[in-house]
Amino acid sequence: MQTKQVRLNEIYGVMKEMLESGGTVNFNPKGTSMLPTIHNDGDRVVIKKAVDPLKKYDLPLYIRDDGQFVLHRVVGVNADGTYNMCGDNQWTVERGIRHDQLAGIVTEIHRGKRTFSADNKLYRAYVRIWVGIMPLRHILFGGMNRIKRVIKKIFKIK
Amino acid sequence: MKIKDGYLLREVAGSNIVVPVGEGTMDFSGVITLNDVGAFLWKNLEEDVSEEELVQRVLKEYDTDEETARRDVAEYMTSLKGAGFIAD
Repeated sequence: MQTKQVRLNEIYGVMKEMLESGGTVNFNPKGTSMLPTIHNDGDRVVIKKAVDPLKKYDLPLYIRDDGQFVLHRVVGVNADGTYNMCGDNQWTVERGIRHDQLAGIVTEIHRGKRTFSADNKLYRAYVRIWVGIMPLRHILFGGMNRIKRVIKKIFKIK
Repeated sequence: MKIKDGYLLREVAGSNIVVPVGEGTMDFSGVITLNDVGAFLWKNLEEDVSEEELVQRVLKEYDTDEETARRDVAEYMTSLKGAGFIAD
C-alpha cells in the first residue's frame, strides 16, 4: 500500500461522475503558476461543475485540447463566450478557452486549517487587485527576475 | 473486520486507487494506490470478514502457499489498521 500522486487526467473519469452528479471534488493543485493564491505544498481546492457561464475572476479547472489540466483564472470573457485565462503568477494570457473545456470551478481554497471561499468578499477584493496589477506584475516581477538573473550571472551563483 | 465506510475503490489507468468519498464529495488529495493483491483484499474487506477467511480466499485466488498468504494478509492488515482504514 502506498500513497501516490495521481495525475488528474487518470482520475478525471472518476472525478467527472461526482461533478456531474452535482457533488464537489477536492485535490492538491501542482505547480507555481497560481502563486501566491495557491501554494504548491499542500493547498487544496474544492471544485464543482461549472454550470453557468464564467465571469471574470472565476477560477476554473479546464482541459487544454492536448489533454493537459490547468487551473488558471478568468481574466476576460470574449464576445463569443470563450474565456481568456491567466495564472496569478503569470502574465501571458491564454485566449479562447471554451466552456466545454471546463472541468469545474473552484469554490473553496484550503490552506492548513484555513478555508477561503470563492465568494468571500476579502478574497474577491484581493483577486480584483491582483488581476488589476497584472500589467504591472510583468514589470515588477519580470524586472525583479531579470535583476536576479543578472546578479546570479555576475556572482556566478547557481 | 471490515473497511470503514467512505472509500471508493476504482481501477484507473491500470492502477487501483482508493478515494475518500463523503456525502456528495470526493477527496483526491487523499488518494492511495493498491497493487492487485491489495485491491483483491480491499474488495473482500468491504464486507465483514475474518483474517482466517481472507487467507483462505487468497489461497483460492492466487497460486501461493499458506504460509506466504498468512504472512502477507497479516502484513496488509497491519498497514490498513495503522492507516485507520479498518472499522473496529
